[in-house]
Amino acid sequence: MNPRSPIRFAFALAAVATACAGSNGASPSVVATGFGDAAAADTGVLVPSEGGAEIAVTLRFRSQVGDAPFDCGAVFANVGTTGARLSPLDFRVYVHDVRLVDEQGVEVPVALEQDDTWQYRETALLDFEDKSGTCASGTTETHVVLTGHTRKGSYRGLRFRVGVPFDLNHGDAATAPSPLNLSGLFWSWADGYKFARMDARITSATTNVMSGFLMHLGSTGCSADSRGGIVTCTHPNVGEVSLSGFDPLTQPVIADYGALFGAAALDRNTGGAPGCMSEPGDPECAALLPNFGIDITTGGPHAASQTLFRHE
Amino acid sequence: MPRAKRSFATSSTALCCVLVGAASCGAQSTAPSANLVETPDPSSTDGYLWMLPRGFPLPRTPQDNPMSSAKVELGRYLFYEKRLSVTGSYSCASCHEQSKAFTDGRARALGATNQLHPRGAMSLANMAYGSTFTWASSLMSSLEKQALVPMFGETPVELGLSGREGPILQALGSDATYRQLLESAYPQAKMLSLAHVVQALSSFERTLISGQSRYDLWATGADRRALNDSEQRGLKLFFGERAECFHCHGGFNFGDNVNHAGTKVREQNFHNNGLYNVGGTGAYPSDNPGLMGVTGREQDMGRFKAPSLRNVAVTAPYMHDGSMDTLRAVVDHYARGGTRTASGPNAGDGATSPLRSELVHGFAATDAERDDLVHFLESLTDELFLQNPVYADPWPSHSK
Repeated sequence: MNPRSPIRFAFALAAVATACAGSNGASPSVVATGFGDAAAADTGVLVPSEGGAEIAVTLRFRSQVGDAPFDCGAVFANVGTTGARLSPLDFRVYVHDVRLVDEQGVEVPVALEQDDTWQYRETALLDFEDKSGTCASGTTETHVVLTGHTRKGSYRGLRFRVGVPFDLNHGDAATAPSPLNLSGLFWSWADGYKFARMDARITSATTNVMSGFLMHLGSTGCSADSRGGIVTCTHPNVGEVSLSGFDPLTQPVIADYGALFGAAALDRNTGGAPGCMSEPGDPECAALLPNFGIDITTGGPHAASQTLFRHE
Repeated sequence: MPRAKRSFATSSTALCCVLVGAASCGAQSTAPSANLVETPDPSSTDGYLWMLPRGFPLPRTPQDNPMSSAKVELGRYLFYEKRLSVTGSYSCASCHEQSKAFTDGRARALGATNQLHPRGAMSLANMAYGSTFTWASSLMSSLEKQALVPMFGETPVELGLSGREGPILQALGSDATYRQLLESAYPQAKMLSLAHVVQALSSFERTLISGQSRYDLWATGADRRALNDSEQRGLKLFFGERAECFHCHGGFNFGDNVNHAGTKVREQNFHNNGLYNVGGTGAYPSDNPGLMGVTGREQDMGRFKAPSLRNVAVTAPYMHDGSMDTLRAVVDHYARGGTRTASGPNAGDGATSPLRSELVHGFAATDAERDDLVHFLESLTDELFLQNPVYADPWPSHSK
């Protein structure tokens, strides 16, 4: 439902990137690495059983920067409103509450396979980076296919939430199960997780000055009760993604790094943190949070503004 | 209340300790002086004994991290462990030196990668009694939560472990010293985990209890001459309604965020003390908005925790951003009711800030009275705490 990003990306490989791309270019990060017998477990904890037959669900994601494949070894030219050059440093997004939409427009929840690595309860980590090139903060393993099962049916849409559900977000990170124990995604000062980590190294097209642009999505304005447990957050910053008009079981979903950053002047920090640390008053956040499907004013879900995900 | 009556000990042992110095008194955990009370921890798994200064309450520990001597010892090694950083040359102790009451003498702390922190390293004395940790966060309600911030924080980088702890834990876990420490602290554990590190560090930090200053000798009645005349005048000012320092820096820990086995309601207090008033709006410099940085609420702008004043003479420079070099400057700040910044991006008069705490309103005090206040604050230094070998670096290879 979301149109292609209007920004055109000239796919330019810098000298440094070329060297890195040798090892990486041949294997773009669109293939899930093996993580054991992923298909074996079938816990069925969350699926509503209404008597109908169940089907296996495989939701494929493909990471891109505009029309070019996402690549930790590449430098992407002409990104954002000031046409800056961008080297990705990370690209990981937690999602949860995955739902298929049938032909009648009815939402049918997907029970995620409990794979002991990437998917825990109703939450999964989409990991598009492979630690190659400039993606130093990540992991070599990637996870770009969500697996689970649901009611048999004919589906024309996909919906999910961006972020970690409230109760899991404020649990004990030191003892949390995978994928909630990846310390690169800890947001410890806020007693939670980075829902999305999409940091980048930016080079200004006009001045050639390099700077970091840190995109950390997470809940802000949280307050605790008398026992220290977090009870509310003024800005949950959990996004809603709603894609329709395609068959989610056969057609891939594109996660477009470039579409997220298209609306921001990446080589300028006009206020707050360098980039966007989810502060409501940060001008960069005002440009970027809506692209996750978030209402910048309330921090609540707002699918209409979402641009990070689209279908082919 | 600050001048709560405590049981008075009249033994001469404590006095001897102070006169002769720490060396002859030994470690407080093994050779308690008369001013320490051996107190069993009811929830400990191995009969852990707290060595509590007279008048200090029993600390509260998390249900899932009860005290044990073995955990404390594991935590001590980890506290001084330089491999627990991205550079392999930085530890908790890099910013928290015992001789400075576990501060670092810097205005703003410096992380492993030389990144400057917006705020200064806080003293770790009596963290066992804290209800909130770091300078200004209503979310940091336990040492276990707080420990993750210096380890994994990225803005700024402190120890710089984000995404890197796996191989480090593996390396430490295969070290013979840690294998032994882990076996004692966690007999069931097969490998060293992040949870072990967090729990052990927190347990060690809880043992960093300071309450044997000259003020304590005076207050407990162990030595009524422990404070000289100037210090006693300063004490009266401190606890009096003219300077009323005690409203925020009260109680046995000279602070107002207290948690122990007897507290039933969790208190958390943050105050705007008029240090800044950028543009007349009450704003603080953008890198240090105080509690507002966590809650996002305008009224929390510039609100910070009132830190404990124990050992304050050795924790200079002062304020969250280290903007004051001396205790006298701090006393002058409060006597004026705020600080005026004449020029620059932070220009403004904190004394007229619309967000300044009602408790900070200035007071009249002569030069001599201000000196008395400083002298009193200097009497809060606990030399035994600063030198106690049970808190010291256990690694023989770490040459001083």
